[in-house]
Amino acid sequence: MNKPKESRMARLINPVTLLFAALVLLVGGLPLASAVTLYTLYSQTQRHEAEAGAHRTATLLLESFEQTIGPIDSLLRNFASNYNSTWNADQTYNALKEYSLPPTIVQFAVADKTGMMVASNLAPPQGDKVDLSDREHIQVHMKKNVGQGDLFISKPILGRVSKNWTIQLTHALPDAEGNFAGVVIMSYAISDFIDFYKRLRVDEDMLVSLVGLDGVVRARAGEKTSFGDDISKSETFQKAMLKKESAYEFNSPIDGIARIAYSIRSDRYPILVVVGYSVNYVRAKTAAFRNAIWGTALGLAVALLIVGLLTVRYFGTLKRLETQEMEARARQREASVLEAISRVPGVSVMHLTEEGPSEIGVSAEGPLPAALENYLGTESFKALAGKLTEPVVRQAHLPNADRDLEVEMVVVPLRAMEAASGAAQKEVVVFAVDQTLRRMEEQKLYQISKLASLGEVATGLAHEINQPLGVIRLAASNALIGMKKGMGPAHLALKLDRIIQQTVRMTGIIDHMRIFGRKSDERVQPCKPSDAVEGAMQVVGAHFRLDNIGVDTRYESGLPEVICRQNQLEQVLINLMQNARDAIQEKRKRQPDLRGHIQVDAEVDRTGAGHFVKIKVSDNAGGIPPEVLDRIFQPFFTTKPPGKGTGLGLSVSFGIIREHGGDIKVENGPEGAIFTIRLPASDARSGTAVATTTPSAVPSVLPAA
Amino acid sequence: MRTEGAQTLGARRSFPEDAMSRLLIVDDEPEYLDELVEALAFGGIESTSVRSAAAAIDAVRNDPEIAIVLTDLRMPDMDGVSLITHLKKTFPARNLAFVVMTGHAAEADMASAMAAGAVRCFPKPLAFDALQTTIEKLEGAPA
Repeated sequence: MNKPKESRMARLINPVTLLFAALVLLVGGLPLASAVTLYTLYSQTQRHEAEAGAHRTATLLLESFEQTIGPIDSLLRNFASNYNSTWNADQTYNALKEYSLPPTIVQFAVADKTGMMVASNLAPPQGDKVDLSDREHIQVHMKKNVGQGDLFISKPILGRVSKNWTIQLTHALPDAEGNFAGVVIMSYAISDFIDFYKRLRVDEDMLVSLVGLDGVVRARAGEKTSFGDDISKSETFQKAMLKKESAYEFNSPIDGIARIAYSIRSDRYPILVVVGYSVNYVRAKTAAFRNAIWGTALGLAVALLIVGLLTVRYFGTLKRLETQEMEARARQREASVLEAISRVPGVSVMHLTEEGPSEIGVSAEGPLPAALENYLGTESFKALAGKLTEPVVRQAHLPNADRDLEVEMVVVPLRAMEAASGAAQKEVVVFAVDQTLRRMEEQKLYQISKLASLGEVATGLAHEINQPLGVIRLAASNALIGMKKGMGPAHLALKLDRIIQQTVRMTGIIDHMRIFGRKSDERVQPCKPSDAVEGAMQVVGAHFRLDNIGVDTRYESGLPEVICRQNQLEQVLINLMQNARDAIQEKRKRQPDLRGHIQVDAEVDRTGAGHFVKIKVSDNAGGIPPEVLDRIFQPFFTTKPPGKGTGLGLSVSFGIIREHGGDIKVENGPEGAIFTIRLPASDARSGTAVATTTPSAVPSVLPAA
Repeated sequence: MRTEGAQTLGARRSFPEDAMSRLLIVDDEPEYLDELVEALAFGGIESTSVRSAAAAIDAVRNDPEIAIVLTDLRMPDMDGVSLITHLKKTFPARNLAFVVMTGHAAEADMASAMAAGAVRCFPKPLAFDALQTTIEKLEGAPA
């Protein structure tokens, strides 16, 4: 039962399925692949855009910073150039007050060369002086770390006077000789920067930062506002210091957020502007796009898939319709063929489905259709039909009113054409041929052949009967003469005894002839193989003795009985022995001193399961020419001269043995031909065979009649 | 006509010294031989009998008196026609006369026997009077 599984596999891997799989791959793969490509491109673009944005913002910021600081710087320069080191505090204060200042300037003050505050614009000078010498923005000038005339921008500090967080913008003040005479200080409220930076930020994690070249953050707007952090040690800062401007990705040393950033160093002031977009922010922007593009891709795939499915279904339907049409046509053609077959006399064609048998075509005449319909309706036949995978030939005896019909039928399973409509459904077509007539013909042929062989043995039998008859006549005549001559009762008794003995001998011969001549009855029954052999010997034994041919018989002990019609088996044996004799006589023409010998052996066939009995008939006539060996069982085939053989003997023998469920074979042994008959032993079967299944290949040597 | 010998049944013993017997009967059936010899003896014809062709050839060789051979056609060792041919060839000087009897009455067999040199063919069962007449005629004829 391998075949359905294979075909199911084959059905799965057909071009349509492959095409469909390809379509699914294409439909699913194309949008997904393009989505991946688009996403990659887009995220790259996003990064570039973030970078560009940072660059732009940083440039703007630096410009804004320089523009903010520029006026302050010139103001400080202007003050420095006007400054007179001989001014006292009040003079200085007045000079400071002359300048109108933007509101971001918290304080405008002057310290002397020792770092002591001289005057502040916030209040007129009083007696107490504030010491600023410890402040970096003072010290850098005192130590001349900053060039004469250069602006210093300090770290954010809490003003001691202003109490505000400010960065100090300072310039050195020269005396008349150009020597260091003090520092002019402008305190810039960093809140101004920070507020401005805060407004620039587009998301929580964006960073805008102003860093001094010393690595201390002047102002920074991140998630939290901060200033004064020293990042001089950070790698990112050191890297940024190497170039005037650069783009980079870094993890902030302050809040630890990864950013895509851009830094620019000012040409005019010791300051660095850094603008960074959080990588997460960029990603988040990309994520939205990614979701959008994946969604689109998926939607596209699903849409394409549906279109593909619909197309495949459409083609499937189209193909099914086409197939159905073709099948309908094929069925019509088949129906015509079957109908034509059904017109053959003695043939009935039945279609068997779950619903039962129905006759196809023209109903055959006679009792065949009805009997066949009954037979096909039986459960046993349905069981057989259900298991069928290939045609079988069956023979069956169908019960019928007058006499049983002998029917040979071919049962052909139909492949369920619409496999979808239930594979379990089994349909068969049965071609039944009424063999009753043929069997009757065979019976006639058998009778003819029996007559033919009867004719052949008649000569011998005439001799057999003539012999005792001759003895009886002479003995009677001698008795009569003896009586006339008065030879006494002893002589008479001797003659009468002899006559009786001869009549007994004749009775035996005649009895057997009666069996042989009887029309064969239809019943088979167990009989001893030895009885059949002896019966045959009774007919031909004396004859063979006269022909100087020895016949030896050998029976295996405990041989089972065989199921047969004994007279038919005897006929077969007689036929085989006569053929052997003819062959021996033929050989004697070339070898006159040949001692003819025929051996008959009966034994259990041990090649099978022991259910058969073999009867071998071998001769020493040299065997059968190989070229005729395979034709030997054909009807009317004979090697004997015209008038000698009918050519029916072996073919009828073949038919008889086959009817008994056995077989007959011929081979050439070392001395001559060996015919082997195999017949079922009586313990092999429980009764007469009603139906025997034979392989569909029937030997071509069947009697053709 | 030597009717005096008819009283004895010993004629069927084939003793070579029985010089009176000029007739040799060949048949493979002992009972048949028995009755045939007795019946001929009743008719006054002495005879010697053997049961095979081989024995017949021996008898002819050993008994120069034998002039007539009555033989069956079908015998296990050699058929009657062959026996006739063989005896004629082996003993050409004896001028043997042959009479044939057969249970088969096949025309072909009888024709071939006549061709081989038989005087007459008798189908079995024998027309005994005709046989006796034929034998007596041959007995009377000069050897």
